[in-house]
Order: sequence, then C-alpha cells, then structure tokens
Amino acid sequence: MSDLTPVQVLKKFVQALERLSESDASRLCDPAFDIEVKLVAKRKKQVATVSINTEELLRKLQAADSRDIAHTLLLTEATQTRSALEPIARALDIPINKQDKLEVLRDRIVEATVGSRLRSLAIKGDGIPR
Amino acid sequence: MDVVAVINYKGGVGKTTVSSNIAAELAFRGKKVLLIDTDPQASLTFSFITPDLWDKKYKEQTIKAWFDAISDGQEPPPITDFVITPPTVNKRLGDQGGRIDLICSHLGLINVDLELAVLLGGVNMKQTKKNYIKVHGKLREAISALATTSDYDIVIIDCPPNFNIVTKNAIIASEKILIPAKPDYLSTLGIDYLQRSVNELVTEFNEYAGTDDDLDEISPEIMGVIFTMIQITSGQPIAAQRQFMSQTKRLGVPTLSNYFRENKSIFADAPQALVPVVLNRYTHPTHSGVVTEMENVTTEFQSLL
Repeated sequence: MSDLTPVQVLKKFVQALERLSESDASRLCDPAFDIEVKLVAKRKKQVATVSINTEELLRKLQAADSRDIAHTLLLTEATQTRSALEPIARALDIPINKQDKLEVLRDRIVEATVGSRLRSLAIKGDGIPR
Repeated sequence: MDVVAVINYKGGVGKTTVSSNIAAELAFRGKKVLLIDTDPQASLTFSFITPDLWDKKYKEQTIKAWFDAISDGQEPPPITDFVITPPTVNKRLGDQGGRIDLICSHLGLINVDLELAVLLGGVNMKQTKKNYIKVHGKLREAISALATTSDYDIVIIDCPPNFNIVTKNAIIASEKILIPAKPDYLSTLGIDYLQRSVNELVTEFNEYAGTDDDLDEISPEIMGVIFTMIQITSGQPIAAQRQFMSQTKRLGVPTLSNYFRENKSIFADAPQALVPVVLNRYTHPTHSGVVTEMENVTTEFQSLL
C-alpha cells in the first residue's frame, strides 16, 4: 500500500463531505450532532458493459407518448444499474436517496418526464396521445 | 401604464407577498403603483391598513362597492373614487417620488359573483354577448380610463385563487399575468389549471368582443412563474423543490430566474407592521439576503414589462 500525502488525505475528506445528503450536510453545523470518522474498504468499481447516451435517452423519455413506453426505455440492458440511472435523475434535478430502490428511481424519472407532460396536457385539455 | 394580474389557482402560494413586495420596491424606485385587491380574504388590504381602520373608514370604499354598482344595473363610479393611499408604507418610500395607492377588498366580495352572474344570459345571442361583455369587461374599461386620467406607472391586481367573474374581470383588464407558485406537486398543477382557464377566457371574450366594433381583442401574456417559499441549502433551492422548478421549465412555462425565499421569522409578522419586508433593512445576513433577492425579483419583473 502506498502512503497518501496529507493533501490527498484531505481530498478524500472533501470527497466524503461532498457525498453527504442535504440533510446530513445541514447537520454539520448543528451543535446537537458530532462528527465521527468511519473508514470503509473501497469497493471495486463495476465496469459498465453497455454504455448509454444520457442526452439521447432523456430526449426519448421527454417525447414518449405514454408511461409504459418510458418504462420500456428504462428497462433495457443499459439501464439496469443505479449508476446508469443516477445521471439521468441528476439531469432532471430529481432528488436521489441512497435508500431508494431502482424501481423507485425509475418511476421518478418517468414521472419527471412523460408523466409531468401527460398530467399537464390532461389538465390543460390539449388532448393526450392515445 | 402596465397592468399585471397576480394569480394562481392554488391558494397559499404567496400571491399577496409577491404583489405587496414587488409593488413596494417599485414605489421605492420612484414608480407610482396602484394595487387592486380582488381577493375576498383581503390579505393585501390588511397588509397595508389595519382591519379596524378598514372597518371605520374604508369598508364602503372597496372594490366590492364598485362591483355592487354593476350588480345593481348602474354605471359604476370612476374607479379613482375607491383609491386610498395607505399612510404607513408611503412614509417609508424615500424621496424618489414613488407612491403606493390601494383599492381595498371586502370580505363580502365573495357574494358579488352570484349577483353578477344574474346579469348574464339574454333573450337572444346578441343580448347574451352584450351582457357577457358588460359583466366581464367593466374593470378593463375602468383601468383603461386610468391610463389617461392618472399618473400611475403600473396597476397590480392581486387575484383570489379561483376563476369567478371578478377574477375574469381582472384577467381581461390585464396585459400580463404573473403566477406565484410554490415548487411542489399541487402548486405546479395549479399553473396548468390557470393556463387552461386563461386560454378559454381569452377565446370566449374575443369571440364576443368580435361582435362589437368598439372593443379591442384581449391577449394577456403570461409573463412567468415566480417561485415562492424557496428553502435554500448550500446556496441553492433544496432538491425536493428544484425538481419542480426544472419540471415547470421543461413544460415550456416561462419562469423568473429569481425567487422569493421562505423565511418565517421575517414574513410571519410583516403584514402586521403594514410595511412589506422589502422596505426593511436588516442587520442579520440571512434576512438582508432575503431583501436582496426580492429586489432582484423586482428588477427582473421590470425587465419583463
């Protein structure tokens, strides 16, 4: 094992802080909470076997005529992992909870794209594609 | 003279806070502003005068009294007869020459709609159309007259969270519509309801107005959604709100880039002081930050007029 420089160690702390959820980040300044440092062994990164074009997928999701079609787009081999779905969720400003199952994340993406459009059309009475 | 309606179908989204603070900042910058409160809850009215003073002095001089004349089948008096100049806020406007005037609301305004509805209909289509214009176009007529007889730079109409005849009068009278909305699921649905109702109203009014050579068609423009009650973490709205802000933009609705932040400590009792928060100077950095954000909203608002 090679030794890290103090700067590299500090960078690891900064990265750990950046991974905190919004609620945890706000607790950093809360005197009711203490900070403990817990070290965990690094997991091997999964090698993505199929890459996806997030921009292209987003465009297709936005244009989908139904939630079913959007779900189909998110059930391909390339969208079976959290790491594949999270960039899409982030691009849509969807909050990501680490505890959420893959299905929940998928549903949120569908609702943020085609779902919101269908709701809007239904209320405005502009006619929903059948 | 600009005429702007502030409305959302959803209640409790901050319509009155938006109307009063934008009006106050515009007046502070030297503009002459007329506020019209068309919400029977009279929240805007009671943000500038106390309910006891209203009861003693102004309750016969409200927008309800103006509409009552129409309900009675009479030509309403000039709308300027109903204008008051709230003293407390106007003392805080500095020396730029600005002014805030107000036409108060009345808790009984809620019943005016039924009385106005009686005037609708007619023995034939021509009469029906004439009555429709008579009932729905009166505020437009009155405000158009203001443009030549008063020194107002802008009229801001605070609307109730419904689409009754009084609200329709306000929309028909306006050139622009500002939509305050909380970035949450139900409030953003309210934006869609509103767009639908406005489109239907414009179509209906213009169809009827087409039969009268003296009437111009209306085309009120949605100037944008102003997001309210924003919670900030790490310098930006929290993720739960950000998703609905982004979603609204994706649906093609124009949105203002500046917003009103949630801050109960300063907003909760501001109306009681009869001076909108934007005119206060705070030493606490968070509170002064809220004021700066409202000043930025007003600058953006002015750029959209």
